[in-house]
This record gives sequence, C-alpha cells and structure tokens, in this order.
Amino acid sequence: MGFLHEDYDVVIVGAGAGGGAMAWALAQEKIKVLVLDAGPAYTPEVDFKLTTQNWEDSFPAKYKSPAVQFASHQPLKKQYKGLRSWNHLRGLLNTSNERISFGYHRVQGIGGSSLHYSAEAHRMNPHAMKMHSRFGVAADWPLTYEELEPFYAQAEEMMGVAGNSAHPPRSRWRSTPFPQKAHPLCAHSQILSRGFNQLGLNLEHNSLAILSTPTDGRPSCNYCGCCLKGCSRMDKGTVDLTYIKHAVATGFCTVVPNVSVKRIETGDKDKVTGVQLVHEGKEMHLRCDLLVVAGGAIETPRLLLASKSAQSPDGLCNESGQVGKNFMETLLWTSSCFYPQALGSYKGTAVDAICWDFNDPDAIPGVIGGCRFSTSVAESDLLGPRAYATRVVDGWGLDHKKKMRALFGSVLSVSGICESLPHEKSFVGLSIDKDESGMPLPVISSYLDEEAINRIAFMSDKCREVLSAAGGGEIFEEFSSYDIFSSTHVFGTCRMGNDRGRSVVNRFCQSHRWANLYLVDASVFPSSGGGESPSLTIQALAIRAAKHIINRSG
Amino acid sequence: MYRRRFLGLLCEAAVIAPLVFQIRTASASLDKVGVNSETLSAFLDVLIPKDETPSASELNIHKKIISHAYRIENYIVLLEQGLAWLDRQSVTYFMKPYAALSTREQERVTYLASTPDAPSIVQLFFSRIKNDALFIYYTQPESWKGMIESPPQPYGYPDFQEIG
Ligand SMILES: Cc1cc2nc3c(=O)[nH]c(=O)nc-3n(C[C@H](O)[C@H](O)[C@H](O)COP(=O)(O)OP(=O)(O)OC[C@H]3O[C@@H](n4cnc5c(N)ncnc54)[C@H](O)[C@@H]3O)c2cc1C
Ligand code: SF4
Repeated sequence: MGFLHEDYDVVIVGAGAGGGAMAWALAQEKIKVLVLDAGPAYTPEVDFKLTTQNWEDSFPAKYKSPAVQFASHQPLKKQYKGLRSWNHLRGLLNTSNERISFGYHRVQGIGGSSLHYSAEAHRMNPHAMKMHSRFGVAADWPLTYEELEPFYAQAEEMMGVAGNSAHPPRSRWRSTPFPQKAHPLCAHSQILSRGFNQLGLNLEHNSLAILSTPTDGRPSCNYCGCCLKGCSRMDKGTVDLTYIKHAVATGFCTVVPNVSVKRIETGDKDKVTGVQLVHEGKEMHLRCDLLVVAGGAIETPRLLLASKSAQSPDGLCNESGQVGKNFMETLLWTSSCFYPQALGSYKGTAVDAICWDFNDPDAIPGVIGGCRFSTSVAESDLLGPRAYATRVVDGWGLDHKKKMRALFGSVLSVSGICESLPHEKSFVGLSIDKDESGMPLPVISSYLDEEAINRIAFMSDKCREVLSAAGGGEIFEEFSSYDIFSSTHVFGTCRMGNDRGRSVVNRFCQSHRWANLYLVDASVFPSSGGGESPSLTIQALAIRAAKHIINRSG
Repeated sequence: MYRRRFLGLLCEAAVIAPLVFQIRTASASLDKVGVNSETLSAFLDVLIPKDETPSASELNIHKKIISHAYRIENYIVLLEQGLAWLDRQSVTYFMKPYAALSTREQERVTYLASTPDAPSIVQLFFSRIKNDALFIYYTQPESWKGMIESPPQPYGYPDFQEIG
C-alpha cells in the first residue's frame, strides 16, 4: 500500500499496450509514474501451461473475469443463412434466430491483452485514416500516418517486431527496416499461399512482435503455435516483458497489480484531482496531478461514464455526448477444411502470413471498408489432439482413433477481418447491475448493418475460394461474426478529433475539457482500419501522447 | 472463434456447460437410478477402445467423468439416465446388462444411442459424454502417440517449415 503515500507525476490506469507504452515513454524521461491495473501479474513459466499435459487449455485467467453484458438481439435473416457459424459435428453454433455473444475477450493483468494476443504488429493503412472525408463514414483521424510513423518505429523496436523489410505491407512507408527479420512461413502457410496465388492474390509475411533473433535477454521463437495460450518461452513481445520491464528498470515507474479504479474525481478549473480505487476489497483514494486512462475501449468509457458528477452530469469527458458511442468491433469470417496430406498444420507462429490485397477502404467491390485475410489454424485453436477429437474427427470407436492419427495436422484454415464502422445502434453504456465494488457493469450493444454483412459475405466467399484453390477438401467448420459477437479488437468509444463537439480527446489523446487527463487505448480510434490489428497503433499513439505530456511539463 | 477466440472456446465450453435446460425438457418423466460405473466404463471403452494407445478405462476416464459430473449441474442425472437406457436396451436385445455383452453387442447398443431415433435424453447423453470423454482422454499424454510426442514446449517445432 506504500504507493498511496508517495507522490507521482503521472498515474496510469491499465498496464496493457496503451498504459505500458505510456509508462515506458514517460519513465525514460525521468517522469515518476505509477501504473495501476485491476488484474494480477503473470509469471510466464509458471502461469502458462505449454509444458504441461493441459497445454490445450485456453489462456489461463488468474482472476474472476469481470462481467460485460451484451444487449443486442439482432434478428438473423434467412437470406444470410450461408453466413452462419457451424461445425460439421455440432451443427449451428448459434441455434437461435438472433445474434448472440461469445463475449468481449481481453486479459486483465500486467501486460493486458498482449499476454493473450497473436502478436500481429500492424501499422494503420493511411488510406483508412480519412474515412469521413473520403466516404462520409466514421471520422477522420486528426493526425496523419506521417506524424505517427516515428512512434511506430519506436514501438516496433521495443516489441521486437519481425517483418519483411523488402516488402513491407502495402501503402505503409517505413523510415527504418523492421527490427527483426521475418519468420519463415510454416508448411500450412506455404500451402495456403498456393491458393492465394492461384487467385492472383498475395499471401505475405505477417509482421509479428515475436523474436526471430534472441534479443533483450529473450530467446527466439521455436514455432510451437500456442501464442494465444500464453507464451511460456517469452519470445512473444508482451507488454510486461518489454515496456513495463524497461519502465521499471529506470527506477521511475512503480507497477501495482490488483487495483481497480472505480471512479475519477474532479475539481475546479477543469482538473482531474484523483481516483477512487479498490485494493484487496478496500476502497481508497489517490490524489493525482495527471491521469492517463488506458483500460481498453470497453473499460475506459465505463470508467468515464461511472465518474459522472455535478460538473459532468453525463459522465466525465462527455460534453460531446460521444463517450461510449461509435463502438467498433472485430468482424470476422473463418473457414477451416481438411487437406489431403499431413502438413503439421499446427506448427508455426499463430498468424505468420497475411494478404493485404483488399485492405484499402475501396478494395471490396460495392462496399466501403477493406479487409485482410490471414492464416488461422492457431486462432481457430486447431492445435492439439483434444481439438481434433471434439471438432474435426467424426465417429467413435477404433475408426475414430485411426482417423485421429490420419487427420492430425491435415487441415487448412483461413480468416478474414474487415473494417467495422460506427453505427448508432453500436455503443457501450452502463448497466443497472453492478460489480462487487459497486461499479456499474458495461453493456455492449452491437448492430451489423447491410454493409457490414456484405463485408462478411465477401470474406466468406474469398476464404472458401482460397481453400479450394489451395487444394483443400471439405470444409468442416466456419465461424462468422454475422451470428455471433465475439470481439478481441474493440475501438472508437472515446473518439479523438479536432472538433470538441464531436469527439472526446484531441489529436494528442488529451481530454478536450480536462487538461490533465489523457486516454490511450483503442477507444480513441476514429475508424478501425481494414482489419489491421490495433495494438501497435495503440502503442504508437501512447508514445506520442507521452511526448506531448513531456513537452508540456518541460 | 477468436478473432479470434471463437473456435478455441468450443471444446472447453461444451465440457463445462451446465445441463439445466436440456435435462429439464428431456427427462421430466425419468426416475433417478444411480450411476452404474461398470456400464459407464464399458460404454467409454466402446467409444475409445484400446489399439496402439490405451482404452478409456486404462486411463480411468470413467472415474474422471464421474468426478467431473459432480461439478456440473444435472450431469449425474444425465449419466444415470443414459446408462440405465443402455442397460435396458442390452437386456431387451441380448438379455444381459451392457457391461456383460460382447464388444460386438455393445457396439450395436451404442449405435442405437447414437442415432436420431434414440430418445432425446439418450441423444444428449451420447453426444455430451462422448465429447467430454474424448476431451479428457486426449488430455492424457498416453493418447497422443502417432500425433505429437510431448507438449509443445519446451521443444517447439523446429521442423515447422516441412510439409508432412
Ligand atoms: C485473443 C486476442 C488476440 C489478439 N491478437 C492481437 C494481435 O495479434 N495483434 C494486435 O495488435 N492486437 C491483438 N489483440 C487485441 C489487443 O490485444 C488489444 O487491442 C490491445 O492489447 C489493447 O490494449 P489496451 O492497452 O488498450 O487494453 P488491454 O490490453 O485490454 O489492457 C487494459 C488493462 O487495463 C486494465 N484496466 C481496465 N480498467 C481498469 C480499471 N478501471 N482499473 C484498473 N485497471 C483497469 C485491465 O486490467 C487491463 O490489464 C488481440 C486480443 C485478444 C484478446
Ligand atoms: S509460436 Fe513462438 S511466440 Fe508463439 S507461443 Fe510459441 S514460442 Fe511463443
């Protein structure tokens, strides 16, 4: 509890991509930082199970997962029955007539969701940063790719990003090569790339925060495929092993796990004065001079809305009415099929190959917003015997056992992720139900309009075409965001912009009204991009915001 | 599922999901009879017989299913009802309880449980117990022969680029 009695220049809520990058960038400059996180610290060798017989378990949550409610009950239409999620052994995965939720997936802990992520390290497509002026949808980013580029380079260096410097992803110019050389493509991706090539498309090396060369006391990857289960080898660039480690090493950063911030307090002159927090069941108060909130695009608006007061009757920072609005989510399609030859398809990094050919916002015919395609054996969790026995191989008895051995490692899987655009029916609000600390639970409302469904339909067609062109056999499983909400990338709920009447923070992620309050997570994204993974952009924005804080205080 | 966490959840979700709704609707008229562990062990050996890897009973999957059952609402009822049905069919067709039948005969009764003609509680019993037994069985390293040699770490897959 010592942290309560010390003075800090900056208090950061959340030790994920945004909070970790901010802590590092400030501590480097000898700014005294306190990082609070609601979740625990993880010890990869102990907490992750990859050396045990239970290695197929999903990511181990070390805490009681906090509830997030889902409020949408969008009816499903007969005309889109080809877009439903299904498995050949189980039938429809959603047997109802309305869209259901499999949840918002994240990790609470030191390192945040990076502990669980696939380590894709993407830069935004600059063409997808002006969606409003080009297409009249979403909002424009109030900064350019050029302004963000140096911070991307710093973030990549810190995370140890491996990529193909000779062929960087389309339209993202680079001032420096990737810090690490690209990982070779696994057997599965080599086969899949034949399918892409057949269709005149390119499957390229994905840029990954996974070491291809030992660096910073961490080994290089040994291609076990289990990135999403928690990397016990520690070659995956997670925020705790990179930013947080180096921030703490400066002597200017203190990190305290298991502390939930339940309310932000404000004073005169539009200043935030402190936070109410809960630690080991006890409520406490912490004064702060400058507050950074980096809780992610669900928890950040939740905290702001829950901090309403006489000065902010609609919630903190909500003068524009935009807190919680403009919610954007992961829109996904995945198809998995048999392949007539043993491939060892469970080997390799989780997502080593990607196709950016449809990533520009006008690349999909007839729809606004782009998408990308990538390999998805690991993301579909088709990695071990348990998954094959219960999802891939049919029958029972001796026949089932024989098929297990014959089919193991002989599958192909490809996914698409596309642009998600704001819709008035997609937003994050507060529930009347509360958590143990008395804080209202967040409620996600999500709605897919025809454009979103058309993007999913495009991805489903392409995934099926690619599998077939790659020589794949019968499809045995498909997963679709059309009938199941299941989101790992969430954005937009505290959008950044120049117009304080239509946004929550300015181009430096600083609250328009509360000058000593910054938000650094994907809640500030004005648009989602065409399937880019967000973590690297969150880090770049956080490092840039830190520079703004440093310049202010200097 | 992800996207990432979509499909990954599927295996585990089925194993831990409560059975409240299905049992209520499917078994309203059935009485409690107790779990017959001999029948369960024999049934699981039909689903997962011995070949170059052990049978279900050799890895004590029946015991693991029973202890798993106590943690999930209505699971015990499902087991009791499904196993009792297997025994009743065995007596009807072969005049012996399931565990006393030959493997051939057990397979025939098991087949009946697997078809859409079986009562709904039996279909539920068959699919759920099969799923969970396979899940638990393939968590045991003894079952991995011919697929993987060990957990993925600490060795990883240095041959990840090789097709085959
Ligand atoms: C399975 C999975 C795979 C993914 N794969 C990729 C990928 O390959 N590439 C990529 O770029 N992105 C990926 N993502 C998304 C990426 O992980 C997130 O977008 C990113 O990590 C978000 O960073 P963040 O700092 O905004 O939030 P988080 O990482 O969610 O961290 C927020 C932290 O804040 C803490 N917190 C929140 N509210 C409070 C509070 N009130 N008090 C105290 N602490 C609080 C939480 O405990 C948490 O630790 C993936 C996500 C998942 C779940
Ligand atoms: S593939 Fe590499 S990064 Fe992923 S978990 Fe395995 S060793 Fe770690």
